[in-house]
Amino acid sequence: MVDSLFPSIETTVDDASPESRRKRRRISETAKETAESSEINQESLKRWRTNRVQQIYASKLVEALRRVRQRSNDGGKITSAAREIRDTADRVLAASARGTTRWSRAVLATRVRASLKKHKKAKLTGARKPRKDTAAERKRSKLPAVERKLKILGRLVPGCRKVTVPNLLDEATDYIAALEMQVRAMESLAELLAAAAPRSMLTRP
Amino acid sequence: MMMMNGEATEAELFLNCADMSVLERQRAQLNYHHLPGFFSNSSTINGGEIDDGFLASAGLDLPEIYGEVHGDARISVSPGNITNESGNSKKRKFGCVDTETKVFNEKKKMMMMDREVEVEEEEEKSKITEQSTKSIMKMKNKAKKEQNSCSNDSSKVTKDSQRTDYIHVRARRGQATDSHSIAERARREKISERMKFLQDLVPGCEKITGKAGMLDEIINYVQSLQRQVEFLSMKLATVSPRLDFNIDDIFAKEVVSAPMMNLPNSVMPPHMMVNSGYPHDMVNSGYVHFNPMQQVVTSSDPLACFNNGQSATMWDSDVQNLYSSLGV
Repeated sequence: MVDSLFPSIETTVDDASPESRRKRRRISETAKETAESSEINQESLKRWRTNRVQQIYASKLVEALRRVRQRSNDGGKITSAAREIRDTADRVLAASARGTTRWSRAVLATRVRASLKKHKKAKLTGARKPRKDTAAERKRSKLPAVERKLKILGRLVPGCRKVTVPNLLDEATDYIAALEMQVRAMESLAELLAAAAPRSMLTRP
Repeated sequence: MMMMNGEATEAELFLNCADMSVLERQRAQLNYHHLPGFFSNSSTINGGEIDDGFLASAGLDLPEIYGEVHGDARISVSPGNITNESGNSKKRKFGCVDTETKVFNEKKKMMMMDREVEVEEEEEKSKITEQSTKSIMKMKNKAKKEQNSCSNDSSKVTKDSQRTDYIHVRARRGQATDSHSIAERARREKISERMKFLQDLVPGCEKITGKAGMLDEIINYVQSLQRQVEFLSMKLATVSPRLDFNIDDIFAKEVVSAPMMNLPNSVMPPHMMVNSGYPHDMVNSGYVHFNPMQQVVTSSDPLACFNNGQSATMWDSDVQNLYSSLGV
């Protein structure tokens, strides 16, 4: 209903002064903003809840994991492998988002940045100064409790630290839905592999 | 006074616009017969019957837009005739001031700007169009604070301020009519709408009211989900050495003997997870999510075995055990 609305707003005004056309476009954009909020929420549910999406993700994940295995031989450490797997899973998840959300773009971008940062690690060690947590500071920062929590949420959702509050909530919505799907897919995958693998593999040191 | 009526009923005019989820509820309470009041300062409003005569003449698209949304709301205004709107609409207005202004605030930003553009271009300089433009401009100024994307037609604004006696912003009863507060209220509406959606998404948040508590829950939930992913990736790391060799074989085998093979293993994971000290909410939520995935296999895709009845056999008993143990 809303979608059919906006074309009518745009097309029915035929007067062709460029200024009014610019205004019209801006107006319909702002109108679309508020429409998008409810649409994003409903769409994120539809996007991440279907079984088909989960299947696609699981198959893609398997593919990616296989490629990762081939590229880096298993050194035997589980934690590093686990981190690799988690990063791969996050990347595949972000890729399934098709770049429509901010967090997915940030996840895919950090891979590039991480590979660059490996060479520049030495530079960054001395840069940050840790803040001393004085009582006054604590008191001051406690006042806007909601804002503090929003900041924490911004840190949790990748790529959303300096994002406006309504957008942050939208991103968080989509991120939560995506994470749920990721957990479901990985659980079933792990279950599958655990069932198929002989017990000796699981108890291997 | 006339304009007040008109202003208030503008709420209905913008019903078509965004924020449907919030405003649809409000719209249900609104009476379209309020609508005629919009141009009441110089118009005649027929009882509740409205036709798009005025709008057509003014070049406005409102009937069309309404047609899309409700299909029955139209405005009939005949220019040049200042008559008092029937008193009933006024009374009704006061009856639902809250809803009107809520809708009003949201809608006016959208529609007003739109109509302003259209009205501007209109050659007729009827009083209605002028005054409606003024009202549009005035309201646009309020909305601008929030959106910062509208063009600032200063000439119109000054023309507005000269005739401010006509323009009243219909705020909620007992609330400030400040442009700031209206914009602020709209912003809060947006945020609360999204928080409500998050409340539906995050399990166990129905009873929590207030942003701080909700945010706490959301943060906890996101953290628990991320921890789950970490744990699962570690688990996958233990079994993944076998990925290269026989992943296809595994899947092929699974499809054939899925129900049988998974039963012995099914007992392990819940206990394993619980014993490893992971918080119960994580374990809980993990299994809760698995429940919806009980569907018939529709394709021969090896990975389709994720969704077949094996999950039912596997998880149901486990989930029940888990729930009983956790006292959920």
